Amino acid sequence: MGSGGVFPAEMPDEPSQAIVPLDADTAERLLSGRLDPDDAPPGYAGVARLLRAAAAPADPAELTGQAAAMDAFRTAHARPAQRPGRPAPIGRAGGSGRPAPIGRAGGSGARRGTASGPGRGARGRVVALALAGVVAAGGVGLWTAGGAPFARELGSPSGGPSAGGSGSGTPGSGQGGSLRPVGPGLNSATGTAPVRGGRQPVPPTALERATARHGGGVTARGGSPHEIKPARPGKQPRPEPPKPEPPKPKPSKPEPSKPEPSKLNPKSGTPKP
Amino acid sequence: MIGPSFEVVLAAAADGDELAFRALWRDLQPVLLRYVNAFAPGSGEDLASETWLRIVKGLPAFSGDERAFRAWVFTVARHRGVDRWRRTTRRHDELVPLDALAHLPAPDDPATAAVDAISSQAAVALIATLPPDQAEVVLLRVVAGLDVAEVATITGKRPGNVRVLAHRALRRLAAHLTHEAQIQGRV
Repeated sequence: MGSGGVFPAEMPDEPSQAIVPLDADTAERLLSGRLDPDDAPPGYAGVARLLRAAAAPADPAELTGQAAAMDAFRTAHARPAQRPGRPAPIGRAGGSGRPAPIGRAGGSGARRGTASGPGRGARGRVVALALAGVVAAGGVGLWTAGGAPFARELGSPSGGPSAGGSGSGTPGSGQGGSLRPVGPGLNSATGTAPVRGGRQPVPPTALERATARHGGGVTARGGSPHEIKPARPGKQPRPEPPKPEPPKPKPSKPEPSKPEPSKLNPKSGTPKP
Repeated sequence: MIGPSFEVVLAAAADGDELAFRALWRDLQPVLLRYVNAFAPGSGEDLASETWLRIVKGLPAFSGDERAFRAWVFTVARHRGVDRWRRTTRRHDELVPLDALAHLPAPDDPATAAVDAISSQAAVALIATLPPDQAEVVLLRVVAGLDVAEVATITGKRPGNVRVLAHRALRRLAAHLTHEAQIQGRV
């Protein structure tokens, strides 16, 4: 700072010489809006008005985005509440195979008390969980009890061998309509469906045995809704690539002994006597 | 400024309280809009929205008083503005120096409009005709209500440099307005 509280850099760049240099205190009062335009130094009354206008209270037009901002705020605070126990869509209840953690139902929403908080989130999860359980148990029961053929007759795209309730014929493939029982779900050795949760294996039904004979399997897993472990998609045993057959030994044909060219008859090509 | 109840409001907003967040937004949005409009006249709303998205995400982790909060908000806005400028530059494949952005012609003559009406928009538009570093310092000091140290932190300059820039800006504005007044007086 130069002498007299004036910045050396404050020397006129191009402005007219009529503008007096500002001292630091006046400049600070100007910038903080504490300088009345009538008290401003010569040439700075307009600046004081200008700066006051720039810092004026909000115009209603500047608050038009409030609704969008509140929506964004709501969304940002609703998302973490749904994350911990987010139920998979019913159609894919068996897709992820991940049970909803009941102990965390409500999640952060319960702590925060947001609109999407404890009541709604927990209730939604319980409902989704119950629905998932119903779909899974129903699908298993329907299939193992021989209900699948009825579903097939009805042409229903769901209710097939996908115990996870994926609504598809192929487990977890997400393609509806096909009821081809595929997959490694059925224990190929015993012909029984692998059962989790400490339940005793159920003797295979005729349908299961038939299905097993045709190379298919039923993924009937789990008993309680909390233990839904449907077949994971695309886990079918990959068929081994066909081994190249060993080259068959060709029967060696005895080649006719060629006569020596010198012993051939040059005219007829027949061997010379 | 919200005042003594700021900490309570901030804590409530961080906890998801909509009324508290609305109070923060209504307090800061107008000045934020003026600040970003000065540098990106066509996309000030977008920049402000991007800034608020970041603020909402970072609210639970923020700690500090109201001045610190304001400084943080304007820091985020500044970063958003720089990011947007980089994206724009990359997309159009043009190497436009940052300094050139402030010299883009405005639709109206902001000087005349500011002298006549002195609405906040016109005033900010006139401030935006200053060299960018001077305009930014004035806007942060006047519009955002930040002090020299806070502006220095946000802009990455030394406090002495911030003071010099502010003085230059004031003098330039005074000269400009005087000149405009003289022209109008002649007419």
